[in-house]
Amino acid sequence: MPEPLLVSYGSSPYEKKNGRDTLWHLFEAISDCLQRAGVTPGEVDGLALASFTYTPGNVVTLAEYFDMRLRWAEQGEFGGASGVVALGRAADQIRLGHAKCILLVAGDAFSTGDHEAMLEGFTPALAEHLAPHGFGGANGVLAPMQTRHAALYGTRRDQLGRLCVTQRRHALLNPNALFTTPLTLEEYLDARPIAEPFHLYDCVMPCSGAEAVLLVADDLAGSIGRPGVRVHATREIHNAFPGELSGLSAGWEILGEELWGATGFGPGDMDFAQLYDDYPIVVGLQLEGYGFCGTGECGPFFEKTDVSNWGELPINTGGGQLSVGQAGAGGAMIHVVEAVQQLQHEAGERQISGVSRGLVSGYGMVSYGRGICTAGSVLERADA
Amino acid sequence: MMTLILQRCADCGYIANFHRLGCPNCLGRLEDFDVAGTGEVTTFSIVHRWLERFEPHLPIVLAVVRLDEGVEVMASLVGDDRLSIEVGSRVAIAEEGWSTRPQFELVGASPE
Repeated sequence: MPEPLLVSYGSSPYEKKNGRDTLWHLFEAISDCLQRAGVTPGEVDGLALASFTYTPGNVVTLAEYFDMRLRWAEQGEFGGASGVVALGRAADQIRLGHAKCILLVAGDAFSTGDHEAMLEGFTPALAEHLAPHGFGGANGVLAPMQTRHAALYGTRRDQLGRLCVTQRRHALLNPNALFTTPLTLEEYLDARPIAEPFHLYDCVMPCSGAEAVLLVADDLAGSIGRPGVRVHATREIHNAFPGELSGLSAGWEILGEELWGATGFGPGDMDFAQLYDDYPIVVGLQLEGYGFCGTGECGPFFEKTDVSNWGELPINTGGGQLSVGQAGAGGAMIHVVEAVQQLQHEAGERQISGVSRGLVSGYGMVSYGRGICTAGSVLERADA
Repeated sequence: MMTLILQRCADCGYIANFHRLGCPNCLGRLEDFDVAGTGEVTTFSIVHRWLERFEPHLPIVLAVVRLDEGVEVMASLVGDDRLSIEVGSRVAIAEEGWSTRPQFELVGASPE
């Protein structure tokens, strides 16, 4: 059975204002990724796309644009989980022999205004039941999770803020980051409220950009001649707890149990964790669910754990969405790109030394009272 | 007075927290019913920034309310005292609101 290996990654130059369009960003990320691997669009036989603003185009019109003949195509409709979901499905397609060179790309061109307008009608339940309340978009829908966590476990902003401060340190070493000055814990705490308990630096900044990775069958990987990254196991779960509003899990403990069972690894074996970071509390909830700390303990975990690239458990090692920017659906792929870059030991000044495996987790599709999609994947350098 | 209408399954009693064409539990027929309109806040957020047309209503308190019928809904609160909301606060449907959907208001003393 062919083994799928991630061999390349690419990004477009992120932009704060809605300057160039979605197709430009997708093109740049695809070019960057394919050129790094020495692969031409004509060699690509599988394509996964996630984008809110590449309309009326879709994954197959993008293939048409690049003269690609596809034997597998997927349109990611899972918000911030689309990248990891696509990765798992693409890996299976390669194992089945249906395709051998799959490009995964995600990106959008967004301003804050565009993003807010889209959120009003993001899902049917949200449009009918939340939009008339002036619900505050994703901020208002997800902030109650932090209120609940604080009420149950005493979680404090100064604990969660440490993650944001650390991610900013990582971003300063990422040329693509839109935030280019350090963030102190005092600045974090003093920031204006957006949707309490979320304040400014708990929230991502919508921007324009795209991210891509290339996944190929092992026989093709040899000729590309770059370090391969194994997709050990991937699991997805959607609407994990029907009817539950503002619950503290999107199914992460279920994904964790299955991923650790399938790989034989545990949280302690991970050299890093790239966890979907629309808000620091969501990173904390993933840490709890996947078992990096106990239920309710993410606050103390952030307080006592160095999560920098030079610490015990590096988290969101490129700065994440919180400090690079959220390029719409690109946010679903930014952590996959960073994971591949780290595992190929090409992350420059922010490289974690001796890194061989890590967890990537996506989360998204904000709807009635929660995000309803999530997926996780364990990646490992093939020569590890 | 505004009432909050939800749907209940005529066959299995399932209460839908948002509108469906049929019962997700047994695919039976859903019938509209007026909920009592009282419940308890399980969690909330206070929205300070949103689309321009909502600016007169800021800050908007958005709460998850466990209705006394047992189902959870998400809705905003009205009333000058809305910022004193806590997890566990009792709420009831307000007589008047600014939304096209029923809104809640705080009732009675907050639990200590």
